[in-house]
Amino acid sequence: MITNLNKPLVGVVLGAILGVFDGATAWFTPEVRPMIGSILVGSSFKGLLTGVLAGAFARKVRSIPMGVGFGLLVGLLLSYLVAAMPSETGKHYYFEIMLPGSLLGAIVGFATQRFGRAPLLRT
Amino acid sequence: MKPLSDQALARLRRAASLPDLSSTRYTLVREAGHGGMGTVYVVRDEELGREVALKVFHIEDEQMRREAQALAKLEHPNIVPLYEFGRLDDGRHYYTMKLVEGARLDEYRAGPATQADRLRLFVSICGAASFAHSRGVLHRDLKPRNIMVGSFGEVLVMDWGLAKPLNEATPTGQVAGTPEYMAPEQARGDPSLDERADVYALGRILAFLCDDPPPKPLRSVSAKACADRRDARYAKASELAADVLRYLDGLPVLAHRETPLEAATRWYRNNRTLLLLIASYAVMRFLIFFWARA
Repeated sequence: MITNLNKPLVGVVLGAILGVFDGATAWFTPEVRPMIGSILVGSSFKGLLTGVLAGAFARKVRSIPMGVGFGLLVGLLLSYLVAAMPSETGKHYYFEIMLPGSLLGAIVGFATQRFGRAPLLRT
Repeated sequence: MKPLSDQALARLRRAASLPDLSSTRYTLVREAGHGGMGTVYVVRDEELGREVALKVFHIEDEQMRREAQALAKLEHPNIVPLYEFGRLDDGRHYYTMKLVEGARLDEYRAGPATQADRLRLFVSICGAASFAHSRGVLHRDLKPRNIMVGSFGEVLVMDWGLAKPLNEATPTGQVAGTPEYMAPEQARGDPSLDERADVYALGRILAFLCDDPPPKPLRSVSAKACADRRDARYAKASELAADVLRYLDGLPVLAHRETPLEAATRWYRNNRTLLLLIASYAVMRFLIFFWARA
């Protein structure tokens, strides 16, 4: 069960799945379809990284709004770095990459707060 | 000689009924309340310089000693602590305990606290009852008037005047308690009362603390705790508390078999934010797709 995993692991698993899914939606944009392989790899790596960071944050801070906000910011930042790289045609897809990327970050941020085993309190 | 007026007589009677504390380290501040078993006063402990509650009994010694002994066994954060037991010059016994500033549970219920806040208090009350049972003590008179909520939200179960050892049978036919909160077997004077009599009272307190109308799962929990047949109730106060905690955690309660629609509603309530985020993502993807085509 997802509640038995620790929070960073929940973030990694969910981030990777959502990253692959998000990358796969590029298939619907014909101009970038030839690059779908590298998009999938890049997107899943971005998801993994967001998951690790959101999971680590959730271990330290227990707050759903803060978790969602943190995930949103990390997703926005990482997808900006991806969007800053031009496509083969030299075009940038800021809007198409950053908006969904930040929302996926928020989803991972929420999930790491809501699910996963929190570390035991030190006494 | 001029006869005394009714007012003067009443004053004299009141003064005569006040406890003589001259042989103790306490001075009287005011009367806090009185019941069938005794009167509680607010007194000042001159040695420690603090105010405490002092209960003077007007019942037979043995029962009073038993109440004090029951309370002395129960050191728990949600049970009012006993400080001292002694005898006044007039022969009456007394004991002192912590003076709890705050509101009675029935007064607290009328305040602005949410149902979730009240349920968390209820879990603490169950904790106190469960602890008492584990020490072999049955309260027998759990009700909102006997529970205080302190100014920091702490809960204290008070008035252990009807408490009795769990392994000791009550004389057949002897009925003690508050009718509204009394289990059927207690009202019948059944000599073999066990912790399920307190579970019944806790079920009534739970119903009192819920919103009106109560949510279905909580109604089922309360109904199970207040079942007429004690075999059908929760066996322990801790089991009742665990079911209420399940409700607070958004999990299904054991007392209520939920329909698929109820399960779906509960899941939706627990995951509203997640669903909202996923829906936003899907809508955004959809819009981007059409925007790119346009």
